[in-house]
Amino acid sequence: MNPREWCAIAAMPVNATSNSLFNVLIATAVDGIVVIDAHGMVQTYSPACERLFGYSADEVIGRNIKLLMPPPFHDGHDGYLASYRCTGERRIIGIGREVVGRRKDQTTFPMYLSVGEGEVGGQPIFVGIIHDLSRLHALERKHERSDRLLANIVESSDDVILSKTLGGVVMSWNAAAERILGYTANEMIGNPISVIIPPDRLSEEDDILRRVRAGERITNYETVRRHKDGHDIIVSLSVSPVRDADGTIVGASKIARDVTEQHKAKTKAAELQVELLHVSRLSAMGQMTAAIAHEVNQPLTAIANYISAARRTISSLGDDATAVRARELMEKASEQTLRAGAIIRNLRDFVEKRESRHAPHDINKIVAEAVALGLAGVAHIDVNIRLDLDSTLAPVLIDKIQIQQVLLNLVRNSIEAMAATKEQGRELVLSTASDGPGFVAMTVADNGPGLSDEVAARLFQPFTTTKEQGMGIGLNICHSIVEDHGGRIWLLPDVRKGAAFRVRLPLASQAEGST
Amino acid sequence: MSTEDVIFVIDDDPGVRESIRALLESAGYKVRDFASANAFLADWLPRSGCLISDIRMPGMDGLELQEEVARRGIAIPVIIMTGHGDVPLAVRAMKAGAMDFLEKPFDDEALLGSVRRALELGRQKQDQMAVARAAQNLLALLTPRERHVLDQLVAGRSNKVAAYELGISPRTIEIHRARIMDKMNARSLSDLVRTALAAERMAGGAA
Repeated sequence: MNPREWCAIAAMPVNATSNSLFNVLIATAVDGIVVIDAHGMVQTYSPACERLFGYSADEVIGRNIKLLMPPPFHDGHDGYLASYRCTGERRIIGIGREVVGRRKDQTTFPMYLSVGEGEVGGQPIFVGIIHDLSRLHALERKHERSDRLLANIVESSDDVILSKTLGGVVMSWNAAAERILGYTANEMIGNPISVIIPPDRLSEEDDILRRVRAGERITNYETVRRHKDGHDIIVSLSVSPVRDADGTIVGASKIARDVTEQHKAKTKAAELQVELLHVSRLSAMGQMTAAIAHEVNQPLTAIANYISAARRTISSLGDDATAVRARELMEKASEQTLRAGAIIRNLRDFVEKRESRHAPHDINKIVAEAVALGLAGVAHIDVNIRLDLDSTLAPVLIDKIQIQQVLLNLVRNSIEAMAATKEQGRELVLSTASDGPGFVAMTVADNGPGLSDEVAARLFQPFTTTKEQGMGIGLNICHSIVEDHGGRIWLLPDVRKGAAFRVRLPLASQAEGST
Repeated sequence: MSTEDVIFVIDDDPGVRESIRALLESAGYKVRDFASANAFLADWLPRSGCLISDIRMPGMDGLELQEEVARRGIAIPVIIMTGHGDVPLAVRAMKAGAMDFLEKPFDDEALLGSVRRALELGRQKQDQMAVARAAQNLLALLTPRERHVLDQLVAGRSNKVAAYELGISPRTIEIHRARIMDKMNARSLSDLVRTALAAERMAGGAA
């Protein structure tokens, strides 16, 4: 109906227009309109009601209104009307409330029903206005669901999620926060966040809040927070401003991840690396000293022997002055060779003393750690690692770092060798096993290109290498380390594919007697 | 010094090997040298002397050579030479029965002293073996019954007790005993026991 017609209706005399106005009202009202008499019989039933309930006016007019109600309202309605007639007690009349309607197909829907009371021709009537709440309810449920989902996500997060005012007062505190920081939500909500901040870092929080106030988002900020029991936790923070509907910043949300363990692992790995590097250098130095000692010692021994032989030969010539003088000189030469020997011995002893710290160790643990270390930095090379460890092995008496260095060297060599082969099926197998009474054997086997006979023959000699940039002292160092442990290292012959090295070490019970 | 003694020198380093040879020869010893343990073993014929071997060699090393010498029943004292820092290895060699070890470089007296002791030890061993062999030969002359009587006497039993143990008369024991003394060339009972024990040691040593 257009506004002009509305004007026409308004301009009509009341008596003439009231009937048609009523009809228009009933016909056009978007909400349903129902009129019943004092006994609940339907007098008027608007077209909107037909849409709402699925009944046509013909099916409803003259019948009891409870037709449109599901139990229990259905059964109680007659009694309710009767009691209102007697006592005047109202539950809905003149008020309105949320009730449930029943459609013709017996399905139900939520609706807001407001009821007014009037009189026509001396008889009381009740006018009901029905507003369908289905869509509103559905929307509410949807919001509820998403709210609940969000709450669940926050609660089930492994990371601390909390919110706070710009003044640093806690507004929310999830389960992970309770677990990681030790305070319950009850203890924290409404209280200052500062209790979880170590005193020397309080200024940090001021700085964070200042930046949040300026609308800045802070990510991966690593710092320290304090547990209720006093121990410190290393956390990685992300802090974002929280805005209200107008976009005004009213607080901050904070996600904190506990990275304490990660930190410890990182620190430990770094320490181990440093130690290994240090030992590598010492080993290389020790190795060179040993090599020099050995190489120089042999000719020195020969010189000493030749001089002694010469002195004895001259002695047989008798006691003339020249022979005596020659003998004296040779004795002095002998002394000097022995002195050179002593110098080398001292040097070697010095290096050895600094290097070795032998203790009983579980060889399997050493292998596992060495693999982890060996893979650091070569993770980009795709190799399948298999450990085949005999868990029944007795401890070995070793310098852990040195033996790990041996394994590390073998693992690295294997991986680098395999890097040259095609990616599919690269495999590195580390195994431990008993090797006769008193010994264990570790094997490092790869399925790489293997070693030529020529290289295999001089494998443990210094400056033997297949690598373009290799020094060729790795296996040489391995060899001397293993021998210093009273063990042996060798290349297994007749391996079908690749290369396999075996390291044999005496058990702690065996080695103790010999050192 | 016995003219038969030979000093066997094994070292893969020709300088060391030849210089030791020169030194030993200057002291009047007969020397044979080898570049490897295997070369020595391949050439071995039983003779008296001693063996000087380097501990670290390619192929069979000094410790393995020692094991092999023992396994083959080669009765020759072994002196092991070590480089610096090989003390634990040297200790193992000693435990495995090496007579001595020399740390390189050594002075001539250390080497010659060690060689002298080794030869002396070898001689003693050979003397003992000769005595034992002779005793065993004598023992073989006894009848089974005489062996039983001898066992009783070596065990320190009197004629009476021995007679009781063997179920014969003390008089018979007396007769056996005189015959045993005669066969074994023993002048006294203590002489007899010594010979019997020497033969036993030989038998025990071979086991």
